[in-house]
Amino acid sequence: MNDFSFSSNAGSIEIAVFDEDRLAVGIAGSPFDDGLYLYSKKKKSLKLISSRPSYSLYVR
Amino acid sequence: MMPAGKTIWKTIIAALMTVFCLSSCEQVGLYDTARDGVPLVYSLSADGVDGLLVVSNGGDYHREYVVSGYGIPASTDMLHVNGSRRAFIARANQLYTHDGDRYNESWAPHNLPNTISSLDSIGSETYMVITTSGDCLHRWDEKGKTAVSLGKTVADSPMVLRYEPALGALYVAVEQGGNTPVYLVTEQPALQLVITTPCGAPPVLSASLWNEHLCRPGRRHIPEYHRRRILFRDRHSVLCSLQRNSDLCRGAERHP
Repeated sequence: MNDFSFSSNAGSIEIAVFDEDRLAVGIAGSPFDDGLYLYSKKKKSLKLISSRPSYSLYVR
Repeated sequence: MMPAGKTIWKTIIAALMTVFCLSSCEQVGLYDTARDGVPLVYSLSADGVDGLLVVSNGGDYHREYVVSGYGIPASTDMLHVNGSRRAFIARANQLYTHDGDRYNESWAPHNLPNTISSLDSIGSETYMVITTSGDCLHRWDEKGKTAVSLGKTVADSPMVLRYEPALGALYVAVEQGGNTPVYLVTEQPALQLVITTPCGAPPVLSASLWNEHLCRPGRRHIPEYHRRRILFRDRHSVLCSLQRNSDLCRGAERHP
């Protein structure tokens, strides 16, 4: 498992399993990183889904 | 040659079908996508004025719905979506949900006796625990549009509610001083203490309970990964992962 660092430690973050490869990541209250992301373990990449702050997330 | 009256009626019917499709097909598409086994991620967000529910499949499906009457979310608010894709937002002692099946219908708050600390679902049945030892467990009554107390009592303050599909059981983890007992709340007639955590004192409250284990080593939510890998992370990065559920409470292997 690779580390992936955001630019700031401010705000809140929440993650949830999206599928076998990807994690959903939501950040709110940070200066630069607010948004909803999908992190792919295979690609080792972070895809921005929405730049709006994510206060809470759920995968269903 | 077609009579003018028939043409007008055909035009009206076509227009009505278009309006109907615009208002309903979008939601049908959402549900169909979900039924096909494609996961959707729901995010509680805001546009600076209103709260938003963002729904995405990670690809070309992306929708934003205004959560009417809710305002800007707080970082402590929680979003939950049950098996029928009904969305719930917990804010302090208020539970917001939409009136009908669609997220763009009006949302209304429903008051509970105390702060909602956790939500989970068994299919379309949604449950929540509040931070009160008595009457801690409530179930959302879809017909009555209200939260109904199930008359469960635990010690101290319930913090985490989780459904274990393999066992068909609901568990509640309780913050109790330096210990963290877990209750099986689907047992009748009363709660039964089935597990005490091997983790000792819980460092923080924002954690997750999975399967029959309970562990609170991280500062953030701990999701299950491939059902056998648990990730711990702080606000910056993934700190470590555990490979097997049985290792969950034996300490974390730190990754370089």
